[in-house]
Amino acid sequence: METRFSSTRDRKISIALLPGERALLARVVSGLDTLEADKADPGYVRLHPPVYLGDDAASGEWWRLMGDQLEQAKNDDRAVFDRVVAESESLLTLEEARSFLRVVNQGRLVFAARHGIEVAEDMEKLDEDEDVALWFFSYVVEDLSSVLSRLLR
Amino acid sequence: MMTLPTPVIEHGTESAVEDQRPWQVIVWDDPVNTINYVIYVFREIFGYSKRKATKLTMQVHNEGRAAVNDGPREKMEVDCYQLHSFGLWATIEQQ
Repeated sequence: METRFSSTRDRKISIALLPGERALLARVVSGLDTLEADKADPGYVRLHPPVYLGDDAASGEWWRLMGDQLEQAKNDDRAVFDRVVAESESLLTLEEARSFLRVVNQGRLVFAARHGIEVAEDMEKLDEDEDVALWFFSYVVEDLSSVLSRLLR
Repeated sequence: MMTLPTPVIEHGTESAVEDQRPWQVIVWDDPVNTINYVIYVFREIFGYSKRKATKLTMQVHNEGRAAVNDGPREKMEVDCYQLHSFGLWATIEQQ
């Protein structure tokens, strides 16, 4: 598969996704919009795990104080993602590319959690369309993180 | 634009003995995050070499968890924030 991501000489990331690919990304990532509605949603649980195992009070305090900042950062990331999937080609700063990457990976994690994927063998439970969607998200994460890795000093 | 959080959690209830023990941030294995992605995240957040990031990632993959950094509790909480922002499951514990 031809790469959709490349770096430029001035350390920016060029993204060129096909219309169907942008539509797939947007459709799956839109699943993040309903996360807050149900705290028992496996996707919500996946993105809000305990940070102090065995200490619910400390975990709750961390989420109370850090959670809002994390949500704001996710909203900022999402604005970048929404812009990219609305354009046929994008030229992003490295920070914007990291934002895009984080959103795609969150979409992937939530999609997998909602389909009950807890161990690698669970991937076999996916139907063909779901398998293609998860594969494409994996491809985007791998390809973009590979391009970003090459730019690390 | 991602900005680092300002540590605002005050931990004043630990005993003097507990305070002396270092804290560490642990990353746990999951079936969805890919190995190359986790290597990238460790390099991006911590500035680790590819070799060190790969070693830690393989430890997560093979042993189920790895301590990826240690230091003051407040610093570990910020590290945890960064790891969560990239979708990794990270926890904090005292050694």
